[in-house]
Amino acid sequence: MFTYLSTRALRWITGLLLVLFVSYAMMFYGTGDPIKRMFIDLREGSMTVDDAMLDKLRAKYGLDQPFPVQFANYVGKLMQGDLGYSIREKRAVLTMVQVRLPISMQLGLVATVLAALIGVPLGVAAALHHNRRLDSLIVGISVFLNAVPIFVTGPLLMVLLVLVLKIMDVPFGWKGIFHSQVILPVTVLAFSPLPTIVRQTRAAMLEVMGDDYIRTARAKGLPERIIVLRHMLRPVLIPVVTSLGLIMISLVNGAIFVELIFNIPGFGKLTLQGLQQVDYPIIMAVILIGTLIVMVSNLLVDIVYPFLDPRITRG
Amino acid sequence: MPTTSKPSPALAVNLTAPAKERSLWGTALRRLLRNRLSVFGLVIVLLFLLAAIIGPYVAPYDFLSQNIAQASRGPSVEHWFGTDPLGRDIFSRILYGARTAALVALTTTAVSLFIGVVLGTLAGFLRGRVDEFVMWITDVTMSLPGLLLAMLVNTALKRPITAWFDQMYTQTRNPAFLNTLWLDYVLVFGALALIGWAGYARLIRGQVLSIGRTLYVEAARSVGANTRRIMSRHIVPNAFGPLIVAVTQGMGGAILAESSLSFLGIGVQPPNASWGSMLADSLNLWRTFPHLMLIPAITIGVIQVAFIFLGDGLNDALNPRQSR
Amino acid sequence: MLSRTCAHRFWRVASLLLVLALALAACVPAGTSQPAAPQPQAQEAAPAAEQPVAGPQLPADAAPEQVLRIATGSSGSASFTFTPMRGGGDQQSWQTFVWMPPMYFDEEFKDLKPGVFNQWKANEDFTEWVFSIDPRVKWSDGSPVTAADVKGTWEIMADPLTEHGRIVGYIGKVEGFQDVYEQKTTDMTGLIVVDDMTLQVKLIAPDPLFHYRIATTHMNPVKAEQARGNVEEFWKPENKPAVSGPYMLESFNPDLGEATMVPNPNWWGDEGPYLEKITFQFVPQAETAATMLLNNQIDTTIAGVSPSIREQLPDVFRPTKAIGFNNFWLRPISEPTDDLNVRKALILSVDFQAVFQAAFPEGDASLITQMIDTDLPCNEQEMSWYPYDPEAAKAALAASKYGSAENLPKLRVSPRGDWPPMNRALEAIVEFWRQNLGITNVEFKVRPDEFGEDEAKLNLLRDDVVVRFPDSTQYMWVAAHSAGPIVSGGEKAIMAGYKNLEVEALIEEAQATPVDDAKRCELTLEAQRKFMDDYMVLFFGNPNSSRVVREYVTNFISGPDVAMIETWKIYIAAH
Repeated sequence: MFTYLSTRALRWITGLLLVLFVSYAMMFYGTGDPIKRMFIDLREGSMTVDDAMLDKLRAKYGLDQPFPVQFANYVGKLMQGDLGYSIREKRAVLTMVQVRLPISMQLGLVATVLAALIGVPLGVAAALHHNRRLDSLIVGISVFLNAVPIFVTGPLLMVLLVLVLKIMDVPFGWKGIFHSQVILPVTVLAFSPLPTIVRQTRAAMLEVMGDDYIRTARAKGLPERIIVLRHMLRPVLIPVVTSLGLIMISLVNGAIFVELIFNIPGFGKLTLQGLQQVDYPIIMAVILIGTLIVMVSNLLVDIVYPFLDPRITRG
Repeated sequence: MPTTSKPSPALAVNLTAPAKERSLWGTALRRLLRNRLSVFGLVIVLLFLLAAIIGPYVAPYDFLSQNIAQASRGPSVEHWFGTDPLGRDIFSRILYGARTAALVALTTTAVSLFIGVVLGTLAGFLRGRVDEFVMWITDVTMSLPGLLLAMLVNTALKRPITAWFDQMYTQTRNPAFLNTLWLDYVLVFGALALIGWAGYARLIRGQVLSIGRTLYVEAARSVGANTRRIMSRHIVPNAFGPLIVAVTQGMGGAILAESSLSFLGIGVQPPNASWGSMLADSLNLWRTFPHLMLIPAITIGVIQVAFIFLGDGLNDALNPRQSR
Repeated sequence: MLSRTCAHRFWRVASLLLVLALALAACVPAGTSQPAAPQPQAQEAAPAAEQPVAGPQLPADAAPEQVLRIATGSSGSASFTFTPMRGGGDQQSWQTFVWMPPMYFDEEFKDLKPGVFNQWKANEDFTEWVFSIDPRVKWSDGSPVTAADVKGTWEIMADPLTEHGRIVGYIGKVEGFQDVYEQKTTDMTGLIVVDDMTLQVKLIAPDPLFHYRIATTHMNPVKAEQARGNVEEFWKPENKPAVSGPYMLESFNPDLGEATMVPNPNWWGDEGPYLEKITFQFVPQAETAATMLLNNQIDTTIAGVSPSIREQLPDVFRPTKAIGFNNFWLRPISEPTDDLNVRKALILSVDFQAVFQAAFPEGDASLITQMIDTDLPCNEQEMSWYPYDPEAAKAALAASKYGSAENLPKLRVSPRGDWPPMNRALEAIVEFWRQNLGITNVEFKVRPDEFGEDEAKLNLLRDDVVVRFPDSTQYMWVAAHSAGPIVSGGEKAIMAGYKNLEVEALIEEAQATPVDDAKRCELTLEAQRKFMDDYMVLFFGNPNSSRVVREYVTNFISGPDVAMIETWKIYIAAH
């Protein structure tokens, strides 16, 4: 286990470095000058600053250095736990991440739990009614919910709940995960992993249902409920757990839209802010953390996996 | 999970390949057509592909031509889906958007499938160092938040490539380098394909590993068949089933991802039509003109559901173990 | 053996899970502790309820509760910051709550009103100005505002590391500015402290409008000793900045996008401030802001809310004045728009009436047909340039050095930004080119920097002419002079490469003429005529400028530099 973990960790660190290098290179050569963008965004009229000033400011933020030097500086600072200094907001990116990441993590956690609580039973029900109307209804609805982009469902749901039904206010700020404002964003966020969970559960159920031991159990005359609960559920949970990485990816992506539309000051909004403002340190921080989140969940899957599926031994 | 699934007995029987394979596909097709939902999916997907091919020729209006006097009208006899704020016919634009969507879906899937299949087969077959390396790259790619990467790739690659084309044009005066409008498409595909391949690679590797251990491959190996033959005759065809399922799902995903990129303003640029950009453009007008939002949203939703139903149907049809 | 490794493994996993649980637990307090920041809000709310007794006498129609709720932020790229040193940005509207500008223009953009300075005069040739500070003006800590504060503020603003985006346009002609701007010294020799209440300004060139120029909230004096060396932080509430405006920041949380303002206890004015509290919420998404407005969660927003909410809230769009048209500018620096005939063809082939309709399908705008904003005192209201004439356009294209659409190099166009009407307008223009001239090789990018290296080769960009005081000569200078912001700024500038010496001579002559001399206007209009002959702009209409604000917010008025004016008068009427 220890050697396994340490090789795994080595693979991660090299992988992370690769990701950081590629991202920094793309940003450096591709996304344009953050300093110039800053003045363009002052709006109401064209740029009024000259090149001399732009040069001075690039030097101020260390953006005048060649790419290898900038990247080395970045990694060096990262080693000391410094995520850099935001060009736009003039403060440490770490302080931003410290506030915003927990908000998104709480939302994501609740959304995952919600998606699993809804998705697994739906998947089981769909499989038990395989090829019947309920099956197609469940799959169809869960897919359709995800097929319409969040930036469409978001405003529509908001108008429905806030203005038509008048059961909530437009979320604003962050009042904790237990505040009622969270209900709508969490629901919408749960849409994105829901079809994955439903379909994984359904497929796994179908596979297990054909297995010999289930037939044996059936032959023994056990009631269907007990067969489902005792013999099927554990194998069914395996694909759900293994798709945790995928779920995390869809949550990280979904958070961008959900937080933008529902006004939640989380990690997704920070991501968008960084990309739109070409704020190098923020872009790097969100890529680093986004990747880490998925990597950690994949590692967790690897660790938990053998306990769920006894057929597997690690080679 | 592919790496762990036991060799499928149905496939293991398949030792003498081609003759029986055809009947396998035949059975699969019959199974597929028996399922009403899969047929629904199949019909919609075929209609979608048809619209992509001939849509712009049968469209009632030119998707670009504007008639500002008729702007933002709701559905009517002349304009089935109404008109947009520039007076363009929305039905024609939806048809043209089908071409964009099909291009995005097919190209993305083809590119990522190609990379995925090559790397996955290599990894599964050669094992050892190659496997380790490929799996490392795959893991890294799969841990990337895709949309984020796509946004970065899209902005980062577009400039140098456009610049290169322009340089080529000034040097050669070759009209092939003149028009770079299509680069938008290529880069949207590129960004999406760059993250899509990893899933396929993993899937194929798992299949190769499990099939490689089955009796018939062992048998083929023992009679001295070379690696290439084993790969092309036994492994790739047998990995086809799960692959087709993954592909149908990937196509729907690509269409959705394109609309997300459009919302963030980095997808297909105007005046070209894509469903995603039509949706994104409707966002500040939908309270006055709801049809601007509803029509592309429903289109995307229906296509997505059709792909999934088709994929599930194929899954059931090609994997007899599940269909009891 | 087997069971031991198994136990071993289990132990490791258990400890890992424990660590994870701890990490999660650590996250939760971090998340919930943060909302503690606005807690003073809650504490403040209680005493605030008792305050009206001590506060100023409210107008008769005022509501019992005086809280103004503002949703700020207009698009994704805007930042949530209240720094007074940036010279623009989305939060510019609110600067005057906190800081008193040097002077400001009234609601009609006609009269200059006293701010920090209550008197100003120039010498004969407009090279020396003397400004006197209103003796009533005090900082919120009770100390008086001095000439040294103004000098110090402007010197800090002139330092390029302060990142003030527009300083050169305001005080670039002050003696010694260049040395400060190049960081050779921090002392600007042309700003002379005569005594505590008097500031003398020496210019290197005559400027009859210098007093107009500095009458903007971008030049607000701050307490220099607090700002020097701490430009990025001094204005934040935790540093207890001394302010000169009717309100002061009470809390500011950029992460949660929340801020609050409360009255300045040492407000020196005769009137107000009436509001007990101003709350800010950073809402960049227009759709979200619209829903909040309809749900009565906010009173005003600066997001581009769709006019369709007028059905529910008929009076929510309050007309305001604003100077400056948005135009599409052709760029003579790049092929093929370097050819006058090509430009002529590109302009005359477009029906601006139709473009206008495409841009503003819901109304709320006016068609424009001339260069100078018709809200300015000197203009040619009835003049209508560039009538739609496809035949003349075709002839012009044929007369160009390219001869036909097939030989025309690629056109690169960008509306420069993310405001939907201008994207639609440009799409309509491109379609006119296609229909009337057969031009199909057009590359359209919403953001100009997406052209990468080719940004310098753009043929058309969008921008508005910004002037912050009502003067047509300045307007023409901004638009058409090669040193003005539309043309200058290198090869990527909006109208890079434009230079017409005749136009420039006329503008410069007008600039040196006193404001009340009729010749100034004549020269300016002549410059406009000459400029129009160069075929440089496409019009697309001027949105009716308005503030999205609920009808009961009284005296909510913006000035020519976007910032609100006379903020101490704002109150909530009973509703």
